[in-house]
Amino acid sequence: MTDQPLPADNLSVRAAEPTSGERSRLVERCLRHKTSLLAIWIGVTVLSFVAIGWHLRGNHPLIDNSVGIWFMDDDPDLRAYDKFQTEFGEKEWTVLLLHTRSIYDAGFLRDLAAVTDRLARVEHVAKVLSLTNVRDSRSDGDGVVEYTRLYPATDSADVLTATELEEFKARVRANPILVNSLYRESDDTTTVVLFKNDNLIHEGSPYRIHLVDAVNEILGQYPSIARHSMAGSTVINAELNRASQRDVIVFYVLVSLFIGAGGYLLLRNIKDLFVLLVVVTTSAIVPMGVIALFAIPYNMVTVMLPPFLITLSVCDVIHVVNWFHYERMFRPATEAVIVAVGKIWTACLSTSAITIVGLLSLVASTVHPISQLGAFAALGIFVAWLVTMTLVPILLTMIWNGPERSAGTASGTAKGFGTYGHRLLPYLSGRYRLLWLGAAAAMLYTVAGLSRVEVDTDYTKFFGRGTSVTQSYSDIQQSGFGQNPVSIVLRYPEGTTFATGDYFRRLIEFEKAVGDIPVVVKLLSLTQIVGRIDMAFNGDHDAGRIAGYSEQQLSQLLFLGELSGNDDVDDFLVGDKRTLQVMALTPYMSSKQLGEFKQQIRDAASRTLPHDVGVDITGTAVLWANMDEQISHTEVSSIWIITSVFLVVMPVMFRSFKLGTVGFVINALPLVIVFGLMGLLDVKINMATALIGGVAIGATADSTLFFINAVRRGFSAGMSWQDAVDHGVATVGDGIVMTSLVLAGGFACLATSSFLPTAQFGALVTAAVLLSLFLDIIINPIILGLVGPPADPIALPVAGGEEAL
Amino acid sequence: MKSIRVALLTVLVAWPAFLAATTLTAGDDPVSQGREIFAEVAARNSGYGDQQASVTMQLRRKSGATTTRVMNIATLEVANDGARTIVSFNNPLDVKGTAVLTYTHSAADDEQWIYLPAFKRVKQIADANKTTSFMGSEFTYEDLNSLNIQLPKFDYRFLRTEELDGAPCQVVERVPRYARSAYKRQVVWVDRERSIVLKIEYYDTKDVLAKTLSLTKFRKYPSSQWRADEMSMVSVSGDATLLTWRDFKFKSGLALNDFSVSALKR
Repeated sequence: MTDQPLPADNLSVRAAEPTSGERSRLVERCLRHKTSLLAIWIGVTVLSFVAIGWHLRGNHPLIDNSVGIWFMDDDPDLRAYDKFQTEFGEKEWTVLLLHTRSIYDAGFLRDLAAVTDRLARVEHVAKVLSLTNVRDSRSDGDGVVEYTRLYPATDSADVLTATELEEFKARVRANPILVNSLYRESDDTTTVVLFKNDNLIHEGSPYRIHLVDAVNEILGQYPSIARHSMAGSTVINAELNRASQRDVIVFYVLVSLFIGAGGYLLLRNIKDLFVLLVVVTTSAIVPMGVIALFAIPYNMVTVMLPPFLITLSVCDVIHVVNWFHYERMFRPATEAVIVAVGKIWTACLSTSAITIVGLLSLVASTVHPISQLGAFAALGIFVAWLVTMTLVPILLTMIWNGPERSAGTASGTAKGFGTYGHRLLPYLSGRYRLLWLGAAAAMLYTVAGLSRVEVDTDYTKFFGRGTSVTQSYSDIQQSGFGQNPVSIVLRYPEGTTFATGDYFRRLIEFEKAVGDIPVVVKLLSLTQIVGRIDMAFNGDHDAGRIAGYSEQQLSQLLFLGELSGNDDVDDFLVGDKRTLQVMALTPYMSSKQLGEFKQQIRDAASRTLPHDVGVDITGTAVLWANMDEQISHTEVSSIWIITSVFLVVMPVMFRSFKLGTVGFVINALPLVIVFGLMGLLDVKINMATALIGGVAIGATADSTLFFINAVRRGFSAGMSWQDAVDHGVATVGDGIVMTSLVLAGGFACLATSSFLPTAQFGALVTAAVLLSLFLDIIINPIILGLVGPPADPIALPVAGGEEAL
Repeated sequence: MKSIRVALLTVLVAWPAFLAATTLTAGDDPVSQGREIFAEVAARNSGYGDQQASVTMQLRRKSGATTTRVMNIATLEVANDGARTIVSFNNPLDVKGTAVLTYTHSAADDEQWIYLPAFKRVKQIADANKTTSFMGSEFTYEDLNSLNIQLPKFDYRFLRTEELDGAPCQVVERVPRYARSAYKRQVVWVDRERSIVLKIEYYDTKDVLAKTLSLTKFRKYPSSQWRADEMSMVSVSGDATLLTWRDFKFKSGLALNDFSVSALKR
């Protein structure tokens, strides 16, 4: 931007003595104590850096995407899951699909045996089940009951003979538990290895990443395994952690570069850029310092905090800098900054307050990371406002200490103030109005998508198509194996066990009903194991007879199983025999599909089980899916809160219901259009896009508030209504464009995330900001021009203030 | 000539010194020492002929929940070949009458049969996996079997002497020689005076301490047998099992046919 005189028209302004109401007393006091304030801010910043350094060097996990962090401690779903974990062990199942030429090839089986042994020794792996180590209850030729491996090789290096292979194949096919769990009858080229690993839901260390890497490394050493895919909560969690680690680096670098380069391009000098960077740094560093002080790990949501704050904190300071330079045309720097802040402090306070309220509306969320983001981001914006009001004036007076411009200059312009805004004016009148209003009306078409907006969490779609997680889930789905274990926990009344009375018979009926649900690929249960033990002990006839067994018979069969080394029972039955689980293996389901599946299970339970048997449906995937309700609640409540605040603040701030209504509509429209776009593009509300309501409104309010404030001031100073509107465009238009571009660019950096919800959030907020820019700089002036002045405007105490000629 | 005399003299003087040295150091070999200690334990623990006892097993979970099982255990020593044991369960009711017969051999694999009264059948069980939990307790079958000292089944190494609850003890490490053990090693505290086992620490295959067995409230019986009234197995996870032994009877006339497969059904 270059200094150019304003055109000689009624938009030129003359210097005028500011009134006492236009002088900021706060800034006056700050300038009197500049040394102390500088010391305080430097001290706070240094302490924050120290806290961050201490955190980085400590043993605390920096990133924690464990399941437990997504829920409040008293969350009933988490408590149910914790209870389940306590009863059955803090473990979860991971599905590993292997592709090969033939699963009955001796060389492949030898390699599979070796892989199975090595997987069992990987840290955090508790149990591995594959064709080469799976066991079955059998009665050998001498009638000895044994629970032994089907695979006969005693050493993992042994290779089976052709006869042994045939026998092995016959044994595998004779056990119905294995079909669709470890192999498919219709496909001899794939097999599954199931492994049970630690599921420490409150553990923040990235052990899942190491586990997945270890498994990949092992499998890469066996050429007979053509390729492999992995699925399970462990895999998804590991990928979430990886994405977080990547995003931390990418976001910070991108946003920092953007703010630096973009800030210089917009402000056109290093001094103002320095001031901007001080605000940006302090507003980001202080909340990060607080986070570090409490050793709070970052997660998929809070990892967005620094780029968030860096972006959102620039708005007020850009307006202050612009107004400072304008006032500096007429008075010394010290006076200029006092007057500049005096004129716009209400707008600054309002925009920051609305942004803070929007962020604080997220604190009410029961999704912990969203609540954290809301709290710390609000703190950051508050710090940004405080720094802008106290430290920025000090810095501006220290940096811009050049000779005064003489007062009374008739024309002239501050750098970047009113330089471009007035160029828009010809395009806001005449036929152009129809064009722009038509464009705005066309955008409202997206409202049709509002009815399709829904909450639905599908973790397999959270990563790009080319990522290994997405490919793995697709591969396992196509292979026909289940990849999602859902645990159905049955709790029997005190004084009974699963085998009391006709409980066992009803359990078998329940399992059949659940097994008949189309999405169930495989059901694994205690009844299957008991059936196999029975066949080994009592001979191979009527497999359904166990339904009629007494409690003693069932208990004694289990005792036999225990004695013969069958520890697989422990996966399904807790020691007191009152709690058991049935595991349903299904394809991966989105939260909505899972919700439907849960209802089908409950229906099956009500049809087949006695009413005194408690049924819980749980598992990591189920727990995550249960977050939908909380996410939906977060979105709705944040929108309600911010809308309520707007409805109150805007009329009060503009001292006019008419202006307040226009401001509210102009601010609400970007959000409505963005939600409509989400519906049309099938973008779901998830843990990241749930933030849009609270964040976007706060981000877009800045432009509206400054513009309408400028219009109101002009009108109160005696301009005609249209002149006041034009004056608003000419004066704050540049600032609105600058802040909007900075906001859009900053949030666009989030769109580079490999975690799709974050990328979607970044893209959607960018869209909202750009829409807001269009609406504020083009549509708002047109609307205001059409609706006319407020019925009862209240004059500002601006005697001798700006006046239009 | 003179040189031959000198050589003979050297041998005559050096030989006793050499003999004395080897004799003195033979007992310092920790492997031999360890084995000797356990040989003494085995010797003191044998010669009881037969024994019967009533055992209450109390399972205590970390959460505080407890479960109780009651059983009778009868054991018959078999000369040069371990022992025969019948465990019959009285409680809980669903396994009442269930009995397990075990032939514990010194060198060969154990043999085991089970009688399930609900089916009125006896079946032999393969010696498949002794590492599983006994009745859901912290004891495994391997733990219970190894309470009968079978010297050939372990390698031993003396570690140190140490006092345990006021009793001077010899601490010995023993490493299982049999396949499919759940343990890499065990560290055993042996009462020096009575040659009885007071405590065992069990280390899993990753050499991490898994659980600790403490034997207390010893009583000496007329057959000069020391028996612990209480055995407490505490896992590092916090779960524990207490075995309380009562009503010991020795040499009550049990014979081999009382420990036969057909006797199980009785």
